[in-house]
Amino acid sequence: MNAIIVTGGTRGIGRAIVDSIADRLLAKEPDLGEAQLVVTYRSETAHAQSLGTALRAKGVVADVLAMDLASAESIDAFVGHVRENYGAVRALINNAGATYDGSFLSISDEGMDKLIESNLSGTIRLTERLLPLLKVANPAAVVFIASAAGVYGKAGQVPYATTKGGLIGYTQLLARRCVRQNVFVNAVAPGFIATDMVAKLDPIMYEPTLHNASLQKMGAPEDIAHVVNGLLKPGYVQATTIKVDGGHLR
Amino acid sequence: MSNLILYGDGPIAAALAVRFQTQAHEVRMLRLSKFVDGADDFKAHFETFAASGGSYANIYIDLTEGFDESAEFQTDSEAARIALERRLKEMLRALKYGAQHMARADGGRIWVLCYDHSVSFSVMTPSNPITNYAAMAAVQCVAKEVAHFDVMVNLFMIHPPSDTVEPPLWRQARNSLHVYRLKYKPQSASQISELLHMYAGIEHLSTTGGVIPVGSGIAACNF
Repeated sequence: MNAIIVTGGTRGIGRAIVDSIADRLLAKEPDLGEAQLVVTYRSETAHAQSLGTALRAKGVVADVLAMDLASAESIDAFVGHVRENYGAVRALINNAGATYDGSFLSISDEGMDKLIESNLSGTIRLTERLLPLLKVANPAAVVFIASAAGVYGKAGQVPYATTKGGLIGYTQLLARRCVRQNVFVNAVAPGFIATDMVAKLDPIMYEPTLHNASLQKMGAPEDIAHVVNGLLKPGYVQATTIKVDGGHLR
Repeated sequence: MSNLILYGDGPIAAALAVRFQTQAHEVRMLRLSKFVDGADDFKAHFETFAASGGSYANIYIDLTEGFDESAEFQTDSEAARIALERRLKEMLRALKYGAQHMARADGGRIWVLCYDHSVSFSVMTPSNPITNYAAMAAVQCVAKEVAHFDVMVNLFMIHPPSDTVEPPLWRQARNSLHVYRLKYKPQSASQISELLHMYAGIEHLSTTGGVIPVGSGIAACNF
């Protein structure tokens, strides 16, 4: 049985991705083959339980497991579980991530360090550990959920944007390394999407940006899920970052 | 005019330092133990320099030499990941403390130097896409935050200079691009440093948050 892994999949964009893949598995879409969902969350068990209940009600079997990208031990334990229970990884959707926002000149070095360790370094560690299982699946897909901030920068989000920019670069590096093994590696860069993460922000952080977007509105998590699902299909898209940001022209 | 070059092991930074010195401009080179927990040294350096009444007009963060991510991840991904983590932590500290220093001194310019990794598809040169994209994102963000202090932050995305590649390799790459007379015209480190030096001398710099391509005449993504 192959695994389809979605990190940070219990809410927001991750949850929309999980729901859409669950629907496709139920419909037995041939692209995904025989596969089982494996969803990770960091600490909020209530969300994890709620997801597990919802998936069971749909008739979807899924592993919902705790994993913290900031902890090497946690990542390795998760990879060990996947290795023991699944023969291969058909898709890895690296969605989990945190923020550490504020005025760059006054934020703490420790906060910046932690974000690099989890958002970027932790994601890379997880992906590298799973690479042998991805190569076995043939074909396989890796999708990184980056951010529009990582593409064109955002005031107040220097460490976050740096980690997301790094993931965009890692997308290119990994894609070039893996192409002969039929592993498709791409990234998606969401703009402002209506999630809990954005709900915490002061509207002044995003309203001017929304007004500058062609569509002049916030996106929905399902908009990202739609693009991610397209990238799970083997094709001619490789090493790229697709912006899903309502049409920022600059 | 005082200038600071962080790391500065690359030939471009070295050539740039010579240009500043030729014009009797002070250049300090701050070399750390190669991206290994030297980050606190940045803060101490700026504090000491400012306490002596000094301020930098230009700070260069040279990320061109000393690592090759694509090769390192191919060889030992764990060691590569750890090195990357340290490098980016230091880069953010350099940007932060450099921008703080300049904001207190009524302005200045920070320049990040990267090698264009797309060149590695044609010529055997370092390929650092992770650091490059992280640095681009950081520069674009920081520039937006500190422009009102007259601190300008830009990044030079540089095709590796001709001095760093064996001539036969350049020729081979050039010969593979015989389409509509498309040819490489590799530039030396000295020539590239001339351009960087020119930017340093612009009195009213009208770009910040920019990714400035500097190269051999081949734009990215020709096919």
